[in-house]
Amino acid sequence: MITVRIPPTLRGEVGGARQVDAVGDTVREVLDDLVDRHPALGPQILANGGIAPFVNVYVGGEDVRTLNGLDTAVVTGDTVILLPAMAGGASRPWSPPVATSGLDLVGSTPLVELTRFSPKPDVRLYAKLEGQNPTGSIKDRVAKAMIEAAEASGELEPGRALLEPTSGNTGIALAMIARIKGYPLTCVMPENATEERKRLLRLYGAEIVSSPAAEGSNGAVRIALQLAESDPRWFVPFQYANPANVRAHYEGTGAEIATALDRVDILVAGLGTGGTLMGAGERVRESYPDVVVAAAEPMPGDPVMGLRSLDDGYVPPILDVSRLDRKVLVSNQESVTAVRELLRLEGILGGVSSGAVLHVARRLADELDEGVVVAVLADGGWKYLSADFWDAPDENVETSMETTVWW
Amino acid sequence: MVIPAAVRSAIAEHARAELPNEACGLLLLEDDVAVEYVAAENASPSPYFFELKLDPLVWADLGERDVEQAVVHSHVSSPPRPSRTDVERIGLWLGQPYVIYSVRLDELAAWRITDGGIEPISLA
Repeated sequence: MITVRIPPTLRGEVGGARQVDAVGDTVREVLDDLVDRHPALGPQILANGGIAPFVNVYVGGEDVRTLNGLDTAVVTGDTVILLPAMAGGASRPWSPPVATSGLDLVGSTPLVELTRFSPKPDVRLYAKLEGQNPTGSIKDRVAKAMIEAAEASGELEPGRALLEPTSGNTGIALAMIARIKGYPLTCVMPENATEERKRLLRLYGAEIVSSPAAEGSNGAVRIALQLAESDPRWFVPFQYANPANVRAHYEGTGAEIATALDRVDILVAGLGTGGTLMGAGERVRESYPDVVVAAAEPMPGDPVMGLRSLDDGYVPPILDVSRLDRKVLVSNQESVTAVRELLRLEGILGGVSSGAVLHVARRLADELDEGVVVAVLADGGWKYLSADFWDAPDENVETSMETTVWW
Repeated sequence: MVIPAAVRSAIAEHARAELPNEACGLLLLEDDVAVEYVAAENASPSPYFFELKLDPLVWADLGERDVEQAVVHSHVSSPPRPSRTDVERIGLWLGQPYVIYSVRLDELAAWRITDGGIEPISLA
């Protein structure tokens, strides 16, 4: 006969007894016998064929996990002690995971609270720093998801090549993923795209086809579609219509936000392809049904790099405007002012669309008395260093932005 | 719940002695009055984490006494509110009194973490 000492937290399951008897030659047999006699103890002390995570089992004062586990032998006269394990703490300890390739580094980006940027102490404003992805933007998620979805469906296989109209972050992200996976990539972009963009794409191994500057990004789309029709070798991921874009944000960006925070009242992202707003918005709404999903949209005729005005006439097929709770227009000047302020107040170097998103986030935060606002910052400022607006006097910012097409 | 000054200082002293890491222990209560603080070892010493470790024979003997047990731990700088980790790791202590001491704020607070959420327990 083995004596089992029961802690106060489990005595309700054994009719209040401080110790009970059980039989068996191993800890497993003793615990099985114990559960036979007191079934309510079962889920508390055993799980998945082992000892439940929140209980410790001792024989002779030794934790059986350091002996032979459930196979630890016991003899008549032994005492088995059950004790409730206890762990916790201010936050979970964290160590960076070890990745098997650059593909594993996509996503799981940090959330940081912007205490100085927030307009009110009781409104907690968090930034999701997508610039921490391997090529420095949120598009790594989209590129990886689109390529892997096409591989899974059989549309993309060795021997085919990728073609995408983009001069921006999506091109760089596709180039990185394509390089790791071994596909050639061609990007079609307006000829006035910045030299540093072209250089970066070439370094990652992409080929570049120029489209007329006057036609803007629509011209790049036109030429890419022409090329794709002329040669069946091309696979065009086309992020504006690719459901994998939305899924990347549903399963990644949105799930990460919903898991990390206990509450989200407002989620703000830039309106580009609509992927972030649709995917992350939907996922966060599942966890926090009252969340307000807000889009930062540039004012018509006042482009903000990286964002799209629906008034330009093209509504991306993946964008369902009815799923947006708010749409806030933001000027280029406001975006630039906010991104400079982010750097000054918080020491974070964001891209221009991050300024637009933060401008909107701060405006909506101001409408709350207290709550949690999350702003998705699509990239860092590193790829925009040659722009003049960083150190231009405020009144000159507008003109310093007009000369170059970015993305 | 009543935590007399002497018990409170025992908790605070132990928490300060364990800096920069979190401290933990057990509070023994008779009719909602704390009668003793039993300092335990933090088996995963960290400023953000604790794992309560007490000699199992000593702990089992404490269970023989007619006292209620509550887990106490310190937060080095954050407020004495249960964190997400605390809630996730509550395990068998679900529904039991749960005491947190914030070293930086010198504040003590008691809670009950239940399936439905976190309820404050008023302290005197």
